[in-house]
Amino acid sequence: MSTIAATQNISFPGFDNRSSTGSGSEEISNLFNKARKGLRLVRPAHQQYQPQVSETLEDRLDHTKALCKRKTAEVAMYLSEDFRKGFFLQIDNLIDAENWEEDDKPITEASFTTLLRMLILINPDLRPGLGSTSQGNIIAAWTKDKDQLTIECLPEDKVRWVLSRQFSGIRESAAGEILLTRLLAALTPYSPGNWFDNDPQEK
Amino acid sequence: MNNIVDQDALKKIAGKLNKNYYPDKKENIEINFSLAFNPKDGKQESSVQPKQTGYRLASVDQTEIAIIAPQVLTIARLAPYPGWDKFYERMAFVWKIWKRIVKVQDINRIGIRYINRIDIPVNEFKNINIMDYLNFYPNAPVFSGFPMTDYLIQVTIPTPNPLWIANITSFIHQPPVLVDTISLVLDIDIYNTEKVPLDDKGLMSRLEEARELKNLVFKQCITSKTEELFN
Repeated sequence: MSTIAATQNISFPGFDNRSSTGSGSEEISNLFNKARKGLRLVRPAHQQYQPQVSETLEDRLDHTKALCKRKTAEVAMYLSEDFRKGFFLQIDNLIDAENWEEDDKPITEASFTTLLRMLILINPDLRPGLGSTSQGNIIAAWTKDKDQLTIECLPEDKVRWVLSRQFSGIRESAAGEILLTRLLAALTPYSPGNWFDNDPQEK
Repeated sequence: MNNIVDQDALKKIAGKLNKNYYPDKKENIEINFSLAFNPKDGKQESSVQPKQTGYRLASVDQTEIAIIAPQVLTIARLAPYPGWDKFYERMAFVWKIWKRIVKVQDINRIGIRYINRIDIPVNEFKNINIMDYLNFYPNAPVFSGFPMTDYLIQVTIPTPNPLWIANITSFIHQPPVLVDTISLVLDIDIYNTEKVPLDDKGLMSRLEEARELKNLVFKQCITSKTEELFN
């Protein structure tokens, strides 16, 4: 049998090593990890660096910046060169030590992963503006005239969104917190192409 | 490499690379933690000893990486892969700097490793059939009606060129990189441990051999459906 399932959607109580809550799941997971270690799995070069514990804010931000770029490299084949270059400039500006305080939490890998998955799912022509929260979540925002869409990327493919949109001169607002896979469906009534596309009329 | 490069030499190499192509320089530190317990008096002693093992250098966009350690030189490139010619050029440059500073007496292993990720959209049942995408897959007995949720396989196999051996590994990339996708990793490590030439020309042409073998292994491991995904 050589069929494999997308594990995030399947839960086998007491069996599946990632998504279940069953009693044996942790044990199976440990065994699996041991098996992986037993094989000659040399970590790829880009993963062979761990930050030191006593790093300064600048070091931590530097590490975060590098991490964001390495994560982006993982999906580089889905991003145009222009998009990637502009996106890296945005990351450099966002994670500039001058704009951060010592107790600010740098952007987390989990939140940044959600952002990347969201960008590939939406495939926008226009890059969002980037920001971050004090919890280390990254924020993507699109603005078109008076219409605004702001999405906070939470860990594990969750997003919190808020928008305001003008319809016949009347402002409508909406907000929600959902799984990434439901995002486009939730935004559809507000014509999200208005924010994402270069020429929304064409699509 | 067999001879051990001292930290001063590594520092010099790192400095040169830092000025050319690799502006992001980090020291690689190994931390040894020891805990001793004396059963007679019940006292415990612990110590933490950081030891520098080399350097990790990267380009501004983090896609080009060089790792230098007392016995190892690694040059890596992340996606987007610019092609063999560019990679070869960078490899030759780093090697030139290494040789300028270190007297290389012996090389005990050279290799080329390509880590390919195949992103496969899941079907309506949220799964895929590996056989459709790889000719190298686990053959597991059926215990239930449910599909497998993870796998890891590895073979070490001689190549048609007796000097080279291939380590081929495949597993599921966790978590999947894209939504509604399963990502399979096909990791091909081609290496040579015998009669490694020390002269630049011999060494570089040996690496060319590895590249051709890697292409052969890759083509034999994937199906036409995977080729379509890459195109």
